Amino acid sequence: MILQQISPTKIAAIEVERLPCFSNTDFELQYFDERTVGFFNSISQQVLKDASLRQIPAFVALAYWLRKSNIETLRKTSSEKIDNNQRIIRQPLGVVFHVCPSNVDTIFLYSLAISLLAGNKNVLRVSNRMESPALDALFAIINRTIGTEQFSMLHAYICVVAYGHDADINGYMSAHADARIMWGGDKTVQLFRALPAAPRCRDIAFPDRLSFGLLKAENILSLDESELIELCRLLYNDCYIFDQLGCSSPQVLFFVGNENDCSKAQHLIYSGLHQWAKEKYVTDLAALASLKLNQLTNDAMDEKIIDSLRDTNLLVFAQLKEIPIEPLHSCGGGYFYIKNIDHIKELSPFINKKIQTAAYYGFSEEELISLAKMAAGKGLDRIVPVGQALAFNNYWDGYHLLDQLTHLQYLWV
Amino acid sequence: MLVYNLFEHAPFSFSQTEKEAVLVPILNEAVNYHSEHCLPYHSFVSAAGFKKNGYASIDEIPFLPVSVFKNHALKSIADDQVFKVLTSSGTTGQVPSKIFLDKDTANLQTKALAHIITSVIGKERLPMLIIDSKSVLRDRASFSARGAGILGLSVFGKQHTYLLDDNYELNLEEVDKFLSNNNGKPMLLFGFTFMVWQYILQLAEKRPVDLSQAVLFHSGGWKKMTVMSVTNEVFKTTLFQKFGLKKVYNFYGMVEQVGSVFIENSEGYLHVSSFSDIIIRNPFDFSVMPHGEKGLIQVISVLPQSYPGISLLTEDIGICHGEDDASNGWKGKYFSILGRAAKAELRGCSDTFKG
Repeated sequence: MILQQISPTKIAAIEVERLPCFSNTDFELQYFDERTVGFFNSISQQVLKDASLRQIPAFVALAYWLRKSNIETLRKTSSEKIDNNQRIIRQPLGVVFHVCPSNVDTIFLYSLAISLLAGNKNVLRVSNRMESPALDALFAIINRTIGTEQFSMLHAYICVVAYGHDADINGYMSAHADARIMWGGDKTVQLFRALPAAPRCRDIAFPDRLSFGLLKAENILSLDESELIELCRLLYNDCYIFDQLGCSSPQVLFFVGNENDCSKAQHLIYSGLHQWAKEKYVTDLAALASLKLNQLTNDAMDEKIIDSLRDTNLLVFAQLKEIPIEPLHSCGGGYFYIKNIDHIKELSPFINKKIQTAAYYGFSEEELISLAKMAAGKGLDRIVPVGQALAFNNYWDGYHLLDQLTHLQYLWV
Repeated sequence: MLVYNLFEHAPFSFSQTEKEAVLVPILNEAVNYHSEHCLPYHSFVSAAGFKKNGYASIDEIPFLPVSVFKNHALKSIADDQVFKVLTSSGTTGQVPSKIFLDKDTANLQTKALAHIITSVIGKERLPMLIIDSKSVLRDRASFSARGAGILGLSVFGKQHTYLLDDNYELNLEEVDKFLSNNNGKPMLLFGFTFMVWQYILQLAEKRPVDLSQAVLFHSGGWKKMTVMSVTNEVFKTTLFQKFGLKKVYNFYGMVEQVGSVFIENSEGYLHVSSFSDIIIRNPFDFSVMPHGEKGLIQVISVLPQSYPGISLLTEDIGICHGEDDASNGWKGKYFSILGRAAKAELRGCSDTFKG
């Protein structure tokens, strides 16, 4: 079973059993080891200095997250006393196998960081066909850093590999990993679930997700011009980065309030969002125009929508006939399903296991807590303010990622 | 005026203004008709952000994306009236488009094509040399546009002879028979542009061929030719120099609007007939581009009656060069196709294991 190794060094062909994360059985790095924290701080600085990477918002965000000052906020004590006799010692699980999404996205780097901080060794499978100069640049930085004396022990801890669809290699990874982190949607998750994993292997699945915006009409109408511009800037960031196709990118925008207020608020948000898209969104307009016209036509013919607003092809608001019960994913690039509702509780049939993020504006703490409670047992992983939809957090998809990747050893003295 | 009346006029005889006056009422009628008889089309006109009726000009008519026929079976007729279903196989792995014709529409399309083609080659059937292999009609996978073109134009020819055998080698035995009867005389040639370039030149090396009275129709796009640095000028000049061929007509058609064929005019551009119109749209906001500026090509035709294919936005980029002033006296617009718009490459988080 031969594959290509990208990190810690480039090797064109290597046997899977010979990968350093499997062949080396020592676990030298501790939970939140100073060397691991230092390693990520160094990566952070190098990314921010890199001429190409610092132009990409997603990589800048990643670099800021990897700074020592931020990483420290995640730290829990490695030996936690319960009482005089009992304590918890935090240990690594062992080897974690990451299945990374084939599209360019930085999200899997966060789970790599958390896993490494927990003291785990990591093998990451990236796509053979992945063409990302940005990720190539990042892996080059990682390799260079692991190559230094200071961080050389990490060579057994970060192993990035690439191989095609190979059931044998996938099977090997599954059988030898202590945890499998599966990014990439329902199909990927089901594919790996079907492969036998080691009995104690923990699966952390990131299947298909759907996110939405929740906007209170009344509050929007009371904003002055500069406040509205700022709100739309935050909404633009949530929506257009990753071409509106990230798992946390809002697909549906719910406007809450009476029909009149909602209608006015829609137009204000449309104008404001459109203005930001005009200024900042870089895309192939001809391709986007066809993509959206096809989506609009299909949605109309499938009787999902009853009307639409499209001043230009940068932004389409498609009015839903009714609250969607089935997951509604748009073509991306600025195409939103819109629904006016009187009250948050009308969202109840919409919330299911695929729903991930609600990006809200204009709601009180009580209202948000009642939204959270309404979703009990049904779904909804995150409720965050507009502007924070894409901000990665240790609490993700209903998991506490650090704890999921930690072996909690119980000690009674 | 009804669609049938259009046949009383030569296919390139309407000025743009005259054409608008004639086509706008027909198109208004058509939108209403299809809205009443094709529910998905009605939903589209209501919800997709277009004006719903009372169109004052051709550019106000709603336009469907040309891919719609892959995802929806659109027809404005009852199932038992379906006479023929045209399909385009497209590229491998893609769902084909389905176009539903009743007898009337199929008839209209045939007549329109004849009206246009015979206006340049005359009404008599000419001996026809097809620059392709007969196997293209048998092989379902590659059938698509090449086969459709051959079948479509075959009605205008006789003594149909294929230049190539099943192995795509010159069928010299057949060709010699054809040339012995027709060399130097009026004849009809048809082939895809890159096929013509490749194989007719091969023939020139083997046989003295006199095409001074022949007419060539070719289609298929210039992408492969541009790679070889062969422009329309080089193409035509070479054919004239080698064979004395003067009458060369590039043409463009689509399965979604059969019968609406655009033929090369005296300026070397594709010319719009009286059954059709062309609008170039700005991909930014779908506004109408002025002549000389490129954008997405929208094709309009009054021929589709059994299905709502009257106004379609293609995925091709083109430029309209002018109207009413072609030196051969043809009225109406003329344009060129620059190429396919790129497929949208929007990234996302998922599909790690797509095929």
